[in-house]
Amino acid sequence: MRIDRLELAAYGPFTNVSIEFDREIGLHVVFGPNEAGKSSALRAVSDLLFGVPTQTTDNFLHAYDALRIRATITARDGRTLDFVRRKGRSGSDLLDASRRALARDVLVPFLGSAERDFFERSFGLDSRRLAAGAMDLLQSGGDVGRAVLQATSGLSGLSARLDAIEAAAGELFKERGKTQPINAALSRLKELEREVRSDSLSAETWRSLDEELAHVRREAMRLADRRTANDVEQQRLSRIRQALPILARRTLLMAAVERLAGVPLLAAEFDATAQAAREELLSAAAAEAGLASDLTSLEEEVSKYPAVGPILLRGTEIEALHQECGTMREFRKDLPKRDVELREATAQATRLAAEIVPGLGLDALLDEVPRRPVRRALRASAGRARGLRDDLAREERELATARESIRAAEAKLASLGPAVDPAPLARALRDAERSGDPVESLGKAEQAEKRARKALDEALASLPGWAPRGADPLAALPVPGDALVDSFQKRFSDLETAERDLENERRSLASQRSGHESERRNLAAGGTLPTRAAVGAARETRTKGWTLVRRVYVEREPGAEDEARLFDPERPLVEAFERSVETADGAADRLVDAADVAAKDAELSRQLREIDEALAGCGRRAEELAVRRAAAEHEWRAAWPAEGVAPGAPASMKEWLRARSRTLERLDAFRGATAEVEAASSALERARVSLVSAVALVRPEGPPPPAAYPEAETFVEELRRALEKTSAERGKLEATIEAATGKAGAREIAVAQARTALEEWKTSWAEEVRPLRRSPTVSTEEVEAVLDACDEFESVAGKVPGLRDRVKKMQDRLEEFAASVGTLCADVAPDLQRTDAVVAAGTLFERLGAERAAEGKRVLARENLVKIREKLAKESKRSETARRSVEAICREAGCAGESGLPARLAEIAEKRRAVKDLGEAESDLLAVGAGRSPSDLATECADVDGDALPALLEKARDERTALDEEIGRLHKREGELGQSLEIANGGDVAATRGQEAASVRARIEEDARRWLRLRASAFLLRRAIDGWRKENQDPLLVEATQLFSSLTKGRFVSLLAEVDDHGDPVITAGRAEGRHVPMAGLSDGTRDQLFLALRLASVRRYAKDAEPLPFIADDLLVSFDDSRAAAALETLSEFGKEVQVVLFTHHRHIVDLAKAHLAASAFRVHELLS
Amino acid sequence: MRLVHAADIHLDSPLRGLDRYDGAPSEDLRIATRRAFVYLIDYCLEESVDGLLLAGDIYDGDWQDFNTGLFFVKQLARLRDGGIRVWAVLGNHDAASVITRQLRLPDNVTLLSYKSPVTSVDEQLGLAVHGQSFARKDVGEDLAAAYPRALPGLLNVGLLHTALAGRPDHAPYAPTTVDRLTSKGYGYWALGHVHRAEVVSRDPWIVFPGNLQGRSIRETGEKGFVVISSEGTEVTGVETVASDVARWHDLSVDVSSARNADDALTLVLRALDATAGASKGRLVAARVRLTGRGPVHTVLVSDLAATEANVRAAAADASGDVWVEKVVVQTLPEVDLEKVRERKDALGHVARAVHGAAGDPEALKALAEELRPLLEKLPSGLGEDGRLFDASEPARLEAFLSEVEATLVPMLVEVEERP
Repeated sequence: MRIDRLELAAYGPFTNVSIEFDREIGLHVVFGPNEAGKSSALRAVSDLLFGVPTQTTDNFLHAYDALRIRATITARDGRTLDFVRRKGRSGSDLLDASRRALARDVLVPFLGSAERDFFERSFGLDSRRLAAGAMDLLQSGGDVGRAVLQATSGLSGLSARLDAIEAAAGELFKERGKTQPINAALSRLKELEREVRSDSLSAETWRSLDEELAHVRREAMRLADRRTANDVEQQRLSRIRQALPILARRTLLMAAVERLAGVPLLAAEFDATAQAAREELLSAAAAEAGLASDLTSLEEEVSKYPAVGPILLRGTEIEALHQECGTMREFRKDLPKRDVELREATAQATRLAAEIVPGLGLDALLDEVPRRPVRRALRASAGRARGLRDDLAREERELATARESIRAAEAKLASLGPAVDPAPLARALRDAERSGDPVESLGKAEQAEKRARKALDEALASLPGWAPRGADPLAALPVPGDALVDSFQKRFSDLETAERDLENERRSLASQRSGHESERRNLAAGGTLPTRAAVGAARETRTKGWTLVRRVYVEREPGAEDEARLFDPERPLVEAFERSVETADGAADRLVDAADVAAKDAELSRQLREIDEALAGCGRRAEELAVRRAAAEHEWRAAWPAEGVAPGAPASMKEWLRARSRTLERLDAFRGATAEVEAASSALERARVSLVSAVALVRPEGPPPPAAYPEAETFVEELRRALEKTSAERGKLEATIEAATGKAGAREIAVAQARTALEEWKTSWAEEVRPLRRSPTVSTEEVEAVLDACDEFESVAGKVPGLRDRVKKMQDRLEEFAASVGTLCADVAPDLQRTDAVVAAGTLFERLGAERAAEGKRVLARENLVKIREKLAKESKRSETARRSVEAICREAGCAGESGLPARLAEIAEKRRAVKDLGEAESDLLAVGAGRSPSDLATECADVDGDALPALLEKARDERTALDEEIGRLHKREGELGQSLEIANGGDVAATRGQEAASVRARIEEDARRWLRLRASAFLLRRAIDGWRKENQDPLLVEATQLFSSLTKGRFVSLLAEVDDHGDPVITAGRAEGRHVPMAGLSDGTRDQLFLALRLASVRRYAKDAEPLPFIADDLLVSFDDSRAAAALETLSEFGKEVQVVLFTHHRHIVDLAKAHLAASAFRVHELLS
Repeated sequence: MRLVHAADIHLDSPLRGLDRYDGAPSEDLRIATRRAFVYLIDYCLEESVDGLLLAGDIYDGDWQDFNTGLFFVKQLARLRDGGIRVWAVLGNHDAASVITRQLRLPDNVTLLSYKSPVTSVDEQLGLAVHGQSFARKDVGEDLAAAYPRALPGLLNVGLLHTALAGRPDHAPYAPTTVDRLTSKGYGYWALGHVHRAEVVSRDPWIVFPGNLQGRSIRETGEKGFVVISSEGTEVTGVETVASDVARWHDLSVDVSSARNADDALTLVLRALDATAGASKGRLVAARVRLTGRGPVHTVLVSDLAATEANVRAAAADASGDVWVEKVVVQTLPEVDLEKVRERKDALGHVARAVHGAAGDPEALKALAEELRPLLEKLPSGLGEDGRLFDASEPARLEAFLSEVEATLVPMLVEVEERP
């Protein structure tokens, strides 16, 4: 495919710029000086073919949706397409010439399967990538694979990536490594698996431990049995040794017991019992004799007491009379007092009786005096009469008070005048309160209006020169919109940027120029330069010499020697030839040295020319910018009204417009505030009128409210309060009258009732006073006086009968006492018959006491006699009992009488001791015999040799020690086994190791997986690169050889893939004279040429199999010197006959070089002007 | 009556795949299966259940530490002290285990014979347990066929280690059918062998309780045992109780919306937080699988070690204890590999060569030789199914090479020198 025509209709800085790529022309040089848009044009080619990216930067002049690139392209098979690319989604961004959408795949016949990346990498080349490719050739030592890859694909990272992958794999695992993670983990896993095995308890181990433990336990039990038997034998021998002396003692004691067989064996207590019985017998006999003597003495004493007298016989009577003596003495003292008291009471009662009922005697009145209930009723009736009279008086007083209240209230009510309703006033005030304070509202509105006016004035003042015109004209002023101002601002800003950039560029160029000139002057100071013609002449001489050598020495041509002499008359041919070789080589070497200086000078000269051109371009662009600025300023002024505003810079005018907007906003605010003031004034007037109407309604004839509003409101408020107060007072008075009238009515009824009750009492009173033998109208006070007299009479007259009776009784008792005493004295003490009765009774009583004392002593003596007789009987009985006890003891001890008892008691004690010792000996034997009877023990010991016992015991002890040791050993082993089994009792040591091993396996697995992937990746990538090399190496090198030769102007004639010292295939370049040079032996420029040759060869190979794409070179030759650049231009123009070549450049000298070295028909220059 | 049904305890079997990386939770993994089993025993004691049914695979077949058996005995002795009976059958692992043969079980345990089906009747409970242990590891016949008919008046429970008619990832030992089991007239079939809990039937109840503790990423989700309630001869309720101390999750995180690695890690953390929350305080053992097609693919695959470390660091920030078992990057590149292969340039060639290697016997042979140094040093049994890399199986090889291609080619596209 080739591009016939490219039209940058609207793209980057371009508008309707088109380039015609003539088919006959091999090389198209698109020259775009700086800022002309060369880079945009380059991008346009890719965007044309593959679409405009979403985030393009080429929309700074044309909006996204306006971007357009149009082209006519021709495929190798001759088909053509005229189409437009616009920005948009894939499928809708291709249009035909008539702006109709084209199918998405319409470009496939022209592009094949190529995509943007591929196109830009494989069919695009710039100086930077050229240099990088050449450098890679050097660094890889000309590694064919990499070179081929680089040259053919533009992929420089594949090899590096391969190296990185292999390194990453190597860090994970090495076949003979130890420290790499996988190697280390494999070792650790083996260790852990060993540990799992060693920490595991096998079933067999457990079983054998278990079985051994059982065996050890059985053995230990068997030995324990033997030890027990040994213990038994030791005990037997010990027993026998202890028992032998005890058995001997036992035999002696048994003989003693036998000897005392006839003596009874009595307890030790028997001795004491026998002794006590003997002592009791003696004691009882002595007591019995003493008591018999006492009895005789007492019987003699009793017989001496006399018989009983008459006073003692009548003791009871004497005691009774003596007891009455006190009473008789009292009577004799009291009797005269009581007699006087009786006489006084009789006289007072007689006087009171005459007051109560005149003429009636004391005793008659006692029966007739009114009794207490009658007296209580009369007193109550008199009290009731007093209450009735008090009630009547009180009711009459209250009736008078009520009537006075009514009169006073009626008088006050009459003084208040007619009633008035204050409700309309209250309503008007309520309405006013609801609508707020109209005066305050008006005040606030006026303040707000003032503030708005001030703000407006300030805003107007901020618009320079506008204030006198006022706000309204400002609102009407036609001004440009923000968008327009923004667009002008951007336009002026762009202009400034362009002007600044241009100036910077100009200064930079001037500086570069000065530097280059200085450098050139330095070069010129280095001396004259050798010529190429001189070198050519020397080489010709050398060639001629070689021809002569061949002719003389190899071909042995006749006559040749003569020519040889002519070649150098002064030297033999061989020497002359060698000299010519040296001369030619020396000249060539000097030329090479000089060529560098020449090339540098040429380069500086070329660059100076470029700088001059660029400076001229700067001048032209400055003029263009001045024109554009003038136009912009003119349009800017036209956008504003002719009068009123003098437009400044867009930025300042944006600020002016913002100030205008603010002013207009404040104008609106001021107008609103004025309207608010008017509304508040109206509200105030409405409120005042409402108050005046209310006052007129309530009080038509009174004075009207004041004209000012707040005073009017106060007036109405006070009026309302006064009316409400009067109304309340009237209500209170009316209520007072009503209450007093009701009260007076009730009191009148009460007065009438009280009078009736008093009359009824008078009637019943007349009846009640009749028993007092008084008038029916007698006063209550008089009746109450009579009643008091009745009370006193009853109290005094009541005592008289009692007093009479008491005096009589005392007199009778005194007489009776005297008679009794007289009679008794006549019987028992005639000497007292003439003595006062009371004195006589006392004397008799004293005589009775003396007689009673004598009688007491006699009775006591008789009682002692009885007691002694009882004691004597008791002691006789005790003596008998003691005698019987002694007889019984003698019988038990087996002796005839009390006299033989002491000897017998001694024998009994001896036998008792022998029996006790025998018992103890047998007890000792029982203790020693461990349950055996003494006779069994005696039998056991019968035949034992006591002297052999110690040796036997020693032997048994030794055997016991041996058994202990063996049992101890077994127990230790049992403990060990138990411990082993305890340790092996379900522990998790092996399980823990197992888990750890699983973790390490997980690590290995993960790392291994990663290694396998890395290794496989490296393997596949290496293999793919190698395949690509093999596939491309030979044809590519063949193609590249021709191009390389062309680019080097025949200095190099071949490219070979050779094997280096490491066995890797590397590229070498063959010089024209046949020597092959490795990469390191090539100059930088030659390596650049080699890389370009490889790249062009790759494009050519691609074109053989697929639809070719244009080869786009971007300032590819800037690092080439003129001669290499010229050769490259020639090669490219030739190459362009197969594949379209478009060379974009900033540099004028490339254009000049083309013009100088290429035929006019071989290339075409297209100048870009945005 | 209440019975507990558990199976596939695999005591002391390690949790596989959990690399002890820096920053992993401090959780002690080593005795997870023991702790789950102790939980089961605690539950039986605390709830005073009437019996425990163990349907086989108490041990791991190749585990030889007799301590494991002794631990098992100790725990069953606790049930004996609590007056709880145990019925058990041996599974394929137990039949292969050296521990089984030597161990003496407490007298509350009835281990049903491997010679023929046995019926153990507990009159007091009104329970008949029928069962037969595995005599050897690979029992191929239908053991259930010879089980007796149900005894009248009792709750009949069949104890059987089986894969029924086949279950994925489980050897088809003691194969049988639901019809066969139903025909016996039992109230409940307590099955074992299949590690994923499943109620196969409700009339009669045929239940796999699953294993007590998940041990690898192949055993995800809640793990535990089953509690059976019954009245007379009827099962009235079946409920599951979780016993796992660490819970496995295969967590797929779609990172297609992520613009960079940080975005992707935020998504990962969010997913881990949700999972940790759902696991109720247990340790979470998670495989984090990053999926989706998006720009983050190249970043993730270009340094997988860094990606793994970043995900694990994110897990350390999650709201619970999360142990990242593995980070699997399964994202897809934004670039279309198909299109890359169509390119005419070197990259297209490389892409085609990488893609075409799978069908090139010579390349595969050379590749195997390339990988040999490590493969011949690796221990056996790596990988989820014990075959980490097996070039002999074309499908696996193809998957491996596809993975390599998906990692490698986008990376190469990324490193292209842009003009």
